[in-house]
Amino acid sequence: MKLTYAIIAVIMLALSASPFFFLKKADFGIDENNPGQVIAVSSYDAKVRSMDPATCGDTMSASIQANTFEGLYGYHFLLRPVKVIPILADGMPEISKDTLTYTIKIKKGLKYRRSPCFGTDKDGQPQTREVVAGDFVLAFKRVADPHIVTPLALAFIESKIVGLKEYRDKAKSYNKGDFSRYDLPFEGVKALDSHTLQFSLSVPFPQLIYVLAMHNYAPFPKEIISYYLENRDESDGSRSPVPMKDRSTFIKDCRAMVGTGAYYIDKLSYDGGDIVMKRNPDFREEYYPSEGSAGDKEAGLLDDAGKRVPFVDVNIMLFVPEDNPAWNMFMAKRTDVSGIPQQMFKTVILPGSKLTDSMAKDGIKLMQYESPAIYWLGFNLRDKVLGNSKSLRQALSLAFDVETYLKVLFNDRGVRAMNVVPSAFEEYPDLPKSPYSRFDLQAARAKLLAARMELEQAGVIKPGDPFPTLTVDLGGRDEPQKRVGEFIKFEFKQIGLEAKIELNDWPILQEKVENYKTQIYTMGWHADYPDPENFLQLFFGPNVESQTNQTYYINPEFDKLFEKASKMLPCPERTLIYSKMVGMLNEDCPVLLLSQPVSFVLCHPWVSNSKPHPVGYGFFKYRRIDEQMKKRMTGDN
Amino acid sequence: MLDYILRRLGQAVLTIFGVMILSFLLFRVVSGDIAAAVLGPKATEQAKAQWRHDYGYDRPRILNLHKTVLMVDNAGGSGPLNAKDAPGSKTVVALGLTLGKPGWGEESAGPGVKPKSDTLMGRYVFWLNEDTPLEKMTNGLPMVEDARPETGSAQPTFPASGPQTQPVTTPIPAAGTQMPAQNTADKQDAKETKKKPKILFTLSDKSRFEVDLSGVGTCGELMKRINEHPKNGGKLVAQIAQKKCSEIFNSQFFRFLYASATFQSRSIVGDNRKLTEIIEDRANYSLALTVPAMAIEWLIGMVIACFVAYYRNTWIDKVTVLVSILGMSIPFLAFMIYGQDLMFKIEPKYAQSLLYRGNIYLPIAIMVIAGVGGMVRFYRTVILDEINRDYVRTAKAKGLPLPTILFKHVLRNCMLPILTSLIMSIPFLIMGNLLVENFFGIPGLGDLMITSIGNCNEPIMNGLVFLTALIITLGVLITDISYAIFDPRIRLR
Amino acid sequence: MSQINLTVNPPAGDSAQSLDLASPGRSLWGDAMRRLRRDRGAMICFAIICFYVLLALTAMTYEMVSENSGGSIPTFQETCDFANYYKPPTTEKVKWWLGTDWSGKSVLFKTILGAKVSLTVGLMANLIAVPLGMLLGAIAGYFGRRIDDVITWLYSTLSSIPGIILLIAMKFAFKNVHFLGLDLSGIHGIYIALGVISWVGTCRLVRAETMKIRELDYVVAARAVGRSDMAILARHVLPNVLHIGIINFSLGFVGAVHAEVILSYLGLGVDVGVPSWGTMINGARNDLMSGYWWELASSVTAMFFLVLALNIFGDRLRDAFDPKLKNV
Repeated sequence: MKLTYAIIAVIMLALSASPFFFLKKADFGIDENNPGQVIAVSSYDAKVRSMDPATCGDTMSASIQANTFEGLYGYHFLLRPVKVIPILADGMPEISKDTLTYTIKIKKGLKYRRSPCFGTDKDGQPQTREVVAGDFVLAFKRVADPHIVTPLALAFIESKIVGLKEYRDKAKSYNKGDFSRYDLPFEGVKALDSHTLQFSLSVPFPQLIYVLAMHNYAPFPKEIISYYLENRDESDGSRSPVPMKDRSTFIKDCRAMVGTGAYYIDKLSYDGGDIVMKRNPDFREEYYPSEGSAGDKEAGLLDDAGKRVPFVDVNIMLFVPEDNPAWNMFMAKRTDVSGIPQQMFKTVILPGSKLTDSMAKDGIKLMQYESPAIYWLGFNLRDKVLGNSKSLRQALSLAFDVETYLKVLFNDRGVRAMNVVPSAFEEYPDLPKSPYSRFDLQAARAKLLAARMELEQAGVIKPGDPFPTLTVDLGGRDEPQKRVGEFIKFEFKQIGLEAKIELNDWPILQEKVENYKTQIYTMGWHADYPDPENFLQLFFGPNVESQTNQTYYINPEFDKLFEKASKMLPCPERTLIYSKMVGMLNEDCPVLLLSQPVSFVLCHPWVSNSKPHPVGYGFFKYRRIDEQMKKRMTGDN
Repeated sequence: MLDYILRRLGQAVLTIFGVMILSFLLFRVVSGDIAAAVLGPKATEQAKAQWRHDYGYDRPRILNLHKTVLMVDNAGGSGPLNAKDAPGSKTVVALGLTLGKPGWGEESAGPGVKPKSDTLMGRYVFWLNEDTPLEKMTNGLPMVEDARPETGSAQPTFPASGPQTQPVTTPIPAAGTQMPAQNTADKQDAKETKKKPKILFTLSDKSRFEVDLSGVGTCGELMKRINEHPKNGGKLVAQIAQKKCSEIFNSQFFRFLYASATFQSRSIVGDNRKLTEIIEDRANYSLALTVPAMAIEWLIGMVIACFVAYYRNTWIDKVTVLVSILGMSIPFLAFMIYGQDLMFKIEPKYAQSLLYRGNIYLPIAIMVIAGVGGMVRFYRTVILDEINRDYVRTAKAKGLPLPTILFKHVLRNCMLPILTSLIMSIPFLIMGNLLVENFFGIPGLGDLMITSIGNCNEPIMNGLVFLTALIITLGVLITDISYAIFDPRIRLR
Repeated sequence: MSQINLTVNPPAGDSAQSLDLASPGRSLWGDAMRRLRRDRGAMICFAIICFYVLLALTAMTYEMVSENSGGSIPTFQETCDFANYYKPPTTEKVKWWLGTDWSGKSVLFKTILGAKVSLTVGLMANLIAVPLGMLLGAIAGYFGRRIDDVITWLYSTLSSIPGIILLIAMKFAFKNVHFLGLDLSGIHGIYIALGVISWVGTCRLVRAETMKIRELDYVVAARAVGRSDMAILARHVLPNVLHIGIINFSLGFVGAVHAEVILSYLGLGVDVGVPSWGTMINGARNDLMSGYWWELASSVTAMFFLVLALNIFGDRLRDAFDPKLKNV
């Protein structure tokens, strides 16, 4: 009998130790043969959606993918305000007199990373080939391809490039899996010869250079299509063609991501696994920049000037969706860089944006930067209450205590926005500030009386009735959003208005906003490129069609000025026009301006050359990790 | 005996069927507009309709007694069939025209076989014949665009990257995927004030013609307009679909039943992986969490319960019972929060996610501490019930020492209810513990359930529920049958 | 804890009771009441429960008065005081005894108002679940065969889906639904959903008990005499299973209170701005890392004492009604 009990006890003990059988040890893809590799580790918190340059639309995917796929142009790593520089292009574009034709030369001798799609040599090693202009044409054709869902990339160039619509229409009549449509001619993007590219525009488009600085238009070798999309590997090692019905139009497998960047993606997961990037052995010769902005030299950002990049061999990204564990991993010296979670803020940053002593003694470095983004509460101007009463909107702006909002809910990690343009832009000092971007309850109450008259005149409310309850839709259902909701409710109550808060998941909020089913909603906009036009177009009348103008703000005066400015390259006349437009927006209050965020990034002392860039991606190649210091400071490794 | 088994088996099957009905009803209601959730809010109506057809969400809900209107391409070319709205018209959207055959499966084409896109079909309408009014076929949706306010110039400019909500921590979260409305460029021409419902058909031989459907009132008239169009010439034939008897089961419910029962569900979010693959990946984590927790809880529970039964009615007993009740009174969430906080203070590396394999012992420890109280009380009761029996009193009177009585007699008889409760909890092991997994970031099956509800990944959700129901029902069945084997009284009832 | 069970399969307790000498007219109820009254522990717990009920009633009164006072008495939402946010507990003012939360509101008041939510959820959920379970259990146990099969099938189905999933699904389904004038997306939805999925435990017990009662002599006699089924159910069966209902009510209360916490964690709890222990626990989760422990501590403590009292009281109730312990 004792034996039975003993057996049962042993079984139970064995089961208790079972995790060591069930779980696999964290494998970082480190090549054991190369123990001297320099490895960087970081965490990411949003699942990657798509890394194909044409379909990539979210910031997480973009930030990773930009290290593999490079475009014609990019941004300078260190210079501020940001400056566009040629990456794969040879020099800035040659613009014709009527600004409708851009001719761009491509650097010679650029190679893709080696891949079996280019064939294998006699030793069975995959080969590589040079980048030619036709690869860029193919990239643009893919963006224009109606069978590929290209969220952003198409939106930027649609109706700007000659022949795009015709190409789309013709390609539509092809089957999804029939890639011979990429042989159709495309007027607007032509390869004049193997290293010269020509863009033909249908309207003047001064922002084209910023578009070309995005990595969505990275050169795409046609061999990827024939090797990875039209054929596939079988489990026994052979290759077989993919039936047309089953073909995917965009690449999902990381091996198919053949680019010119400093890294290639060795391991990819769309489901929250690890992502590993490794050094591209065929990367061209590129050197760390020798000039920077003010303060870079003191921060040590020019120490590696002139050295060949990239420095780091392997970059491992771990999926950590929650803030606290990501922070803990950083503090445990498992990751190199981190943001600061809301709740840890006080223990990390002292007023005046200095590090606390406990952080500083570990040698942790702090970087602070203003994101070129503005957050606001949008008003749905199609709503009969908000659309009919400008005074109501102004009253709400005056009643909202943005300073307390930032202090209590965001630890002051932001500054009040004074108009719809971020302060980092060159034109900002010349643009008028909104007279309603201040906290003044008395003025708010006065405006409210005016609002009541306006609404009664419009027949929305009867005299003597109370103000209708306003609904505010938020984008998220977690605790911080709930607090924001409570705050908004409290603020509105100060002038006697009732607010009902609705929490929505982000996609549902988007749908509601775009179908004009909201009254007030939280929204924001992050700059794509450093031109105020990027923000002003959110209020351009015809953009209602494309869902960009979500407030339904339609002002013919504004629209006329917008069109005029859209044809002008940056100059003082244009700034004057912008200034008039901003003034109109300030007065009409289509949105309740909240804040411009200030972001903080921390990194450990063994990390060098980390400078957050407001709009560009793909700077990981400049990062340097001091392996010796890291080993010393983390003890085990 | 066999009779009993068969009866229980029958009940089990009915129960699973009931679970499927319940989950079908609930989750269809919950999911809302799945197409919008998957494709993103900017997808066009036509793209959504096509997606719905491809994934089976346009079929009638329970039973398919509906018919659709078909437009079959007889042109014999090799290109795809396409129907597009002319500028100003929204007829294709209203009629819900999508590519595909109304029949059962999507027959997969081998190389060289024509793609399935040679038939356009409309909505499933309950009683469709030639005289059905057009409103039924369009579900009340408008056939032409509603008027938009005239703006200065019809040229839209530069929509750019996604809008984003305020981040509460850095860095800024990802923007949603978006697709600009496909008819943007077309609307440039829509300056005419009168808008007509027109469809532009492109056939497989690349020929095209445009059909004007103004004034069409019934299904028959619609088909006639298309069939008798001068440029048609018999290449596109519109007709009402003929149905086979087996079509009755081509409904959402039965397709879903079939997919779940044969484990063919595929995720509709992210990459299209099969449910079975996902489960394979994730089951390890759930099991690694629940199996040790159960084993340790059981061991500790048994040891303490025996100990306490030995010292029953003394202060040790009373204190233990009190502590158990205390343990059961603290909310589980509080245990997790405080437990994790404690670990942060001691050694942060071990406190979250599975960076080290041993990290999983923290959630296991929390589960054990929270659950052991209930176990101790339950086992204690069972043991005490046995101890109060007559034969134990006899044994004591005969002079046997209490430990011997405990191990030789009492425990053996207690084993049945104890092991039963253990076996009953096995089915729940594989599902993992939803809260713990969510909280600690363990990528197990419980976490999968919660996230798939959150992002409307309906096939995964249903597949998981089916799996759970299957396992639980099987567990109950096996328990009952083994009970019947060991305890004759149950059989004979 | 992989399932939400408002009731636990009840093992019998073991508490020393005094020997009851023969006295005239002892009924199950009288017996139980006497035993309970003599049990000091149970009485203390009962007092604690009553205290919480009093708190909840105070909270309700305050809410009604402040809402209808037209601004002279602020509602709780309006007591935000941003200048004093995150104050630790101090003795300066009464309302700061337990400190303030992220917006300066008093944690003491929040805890009291939270009692209202928890008690409402517990009460209403069980008011739905227990009678439903008793009714269905009695019908199933009494009529047997087909009806029994149907009801058994029903509760097997419900218990095969993990409770949390059902709760989440129902909460999603209840968005924007209005039923009998109640807005189901808030607290009303919570207890309706809880009630609808937790009748199973009671049903099982009542069914087993009914099947035993059915075979008792006097019931057989009543059937033979020709009394209608309804009368037998009402007169003989239901009174004898009532004690199961009461026990499960008190134990199920605990489950409901815990369930509210879990729902708040999942973001499906009460509306924004309504204070409840669940939202306090969930919200303060992050605050703990910054060192603000008082909101979490006070809600957990408040919940702890209530649940403890309910647990012990429920246990003692069960012991009081247990015929096996009559002569112990």
